[in-house]
Amino acid sequence: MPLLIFLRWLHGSVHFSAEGGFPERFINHCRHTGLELWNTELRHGMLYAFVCASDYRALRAAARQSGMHLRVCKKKGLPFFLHKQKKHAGLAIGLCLFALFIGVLSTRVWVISIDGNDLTESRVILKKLEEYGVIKGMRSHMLNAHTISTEMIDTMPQLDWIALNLRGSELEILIREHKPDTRAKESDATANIVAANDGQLVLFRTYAGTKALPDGSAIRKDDVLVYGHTKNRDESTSPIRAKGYIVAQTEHNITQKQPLSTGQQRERLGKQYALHLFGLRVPLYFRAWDDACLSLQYFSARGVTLPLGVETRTLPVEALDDATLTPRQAELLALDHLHAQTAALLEYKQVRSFSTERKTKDNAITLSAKYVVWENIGQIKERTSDHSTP
Amino acid sequence: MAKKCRSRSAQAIKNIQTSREMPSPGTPRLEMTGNQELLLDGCKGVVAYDENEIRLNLGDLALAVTGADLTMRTLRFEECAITGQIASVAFFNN
Repeated sequence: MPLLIFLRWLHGSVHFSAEGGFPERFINHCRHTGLELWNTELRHGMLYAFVCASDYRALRAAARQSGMHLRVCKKKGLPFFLHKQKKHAGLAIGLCLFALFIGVLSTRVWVISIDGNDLTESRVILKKLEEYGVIKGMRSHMLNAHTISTEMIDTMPQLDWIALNLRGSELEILIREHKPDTRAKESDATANIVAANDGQLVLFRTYAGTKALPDGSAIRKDDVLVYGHTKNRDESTSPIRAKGYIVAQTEHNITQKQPLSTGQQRERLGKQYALHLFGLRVPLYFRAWDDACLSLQYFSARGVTLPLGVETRTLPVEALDDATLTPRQAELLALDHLHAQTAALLEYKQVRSFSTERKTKDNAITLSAKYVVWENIGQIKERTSDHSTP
Repeated sequence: MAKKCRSRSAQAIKNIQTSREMPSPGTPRLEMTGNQELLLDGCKGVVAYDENEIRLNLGDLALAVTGADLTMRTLRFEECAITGQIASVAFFNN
């Protein structure tokens, strides 16, 4: 049925009414002359029906013979639509050009996405791909994914595997990198465990070697905690690598001073712009600055990156006066730095207690924090001489 | 002799059709879907066309379809489709 509707729309149809005369004669006559009527109905003495646009003229003879008068109610279908749009030739041309434009664009690659690269920058991979002609705006059928992936693996040893998947106008590049084994190989050299900081022992577990201090002892930095030797049955000693887990309570002080006058000069930034249109770069300046910081932002619609973007080149062009901070600004800046230091310091440590202090002196704000923490204080120190053995 | 043979073969065909419940050639075929749609094969023409009744020529018989909102969806060759609220279907001898 949908096909029939489409064919009728394609050929065009006329909805007409016929009155007077004999409807049955009219229908029979149409049937005998091969004119197909559909959706024929009689309402208030009027016969309504549809006929193919090309057959409407032939209905007149049947109407004359059956004594009926025809009247067109509605014309539907493609021929009538095209006839109506004759005056709007520009619109039709525009539609055709638009379809052509979309058709041409869909044969090219406009989005290149890279996924799976942690160590190698996307910029480096894109640069390498450019050597093989993979750029925005390239023709999709020119992409030889297998050859490119093979050659890239050969030329970039940091890549283990690469796949180029083309989906419409989007080229998805999946990468698996060769990650070096970052685990440090454990040395077999004889070593002691020494204290990394001053503090007081809380937990002492010795896995290999001889314990040097009793539990709860106060310790200083570089004190030996576990000796790297073991006693044999004949009371002699054999050197080994000490192993253990020693937790001590330690104190850490962090101070952050922020002067109200930063002493740094503010800079006015100059910007240059360039447009990226379908892989074509259109600079909006005459002379490019050297050493400018470059950023490229592509527009996107509903999560799809469009081949339209703006490139911004930024460069400090003028030095302004020294910037002076208000006390509140200085405090916030100091707090920001303090937080950064604290985060780095307290990694793998358990905070038992802490206190903070704020001072304003000499046109500067000083923030200080004191942390009492539990931490793994043991530090492997390889033995170079026998003076560290008891 | 040949005439006798022909009548026998005609009788045999008739017997087969009767036993297999096959319609004889030229018999109109009628199919209805509820009271909404009527499909007819073997329509020779329209005898009468009214708002509430359509009378079709089936050769030896005439078929009268009565109801409301009757629409002749198609009339092509010997096929005819009628839709609407069909109230009754009746056969008459021509």
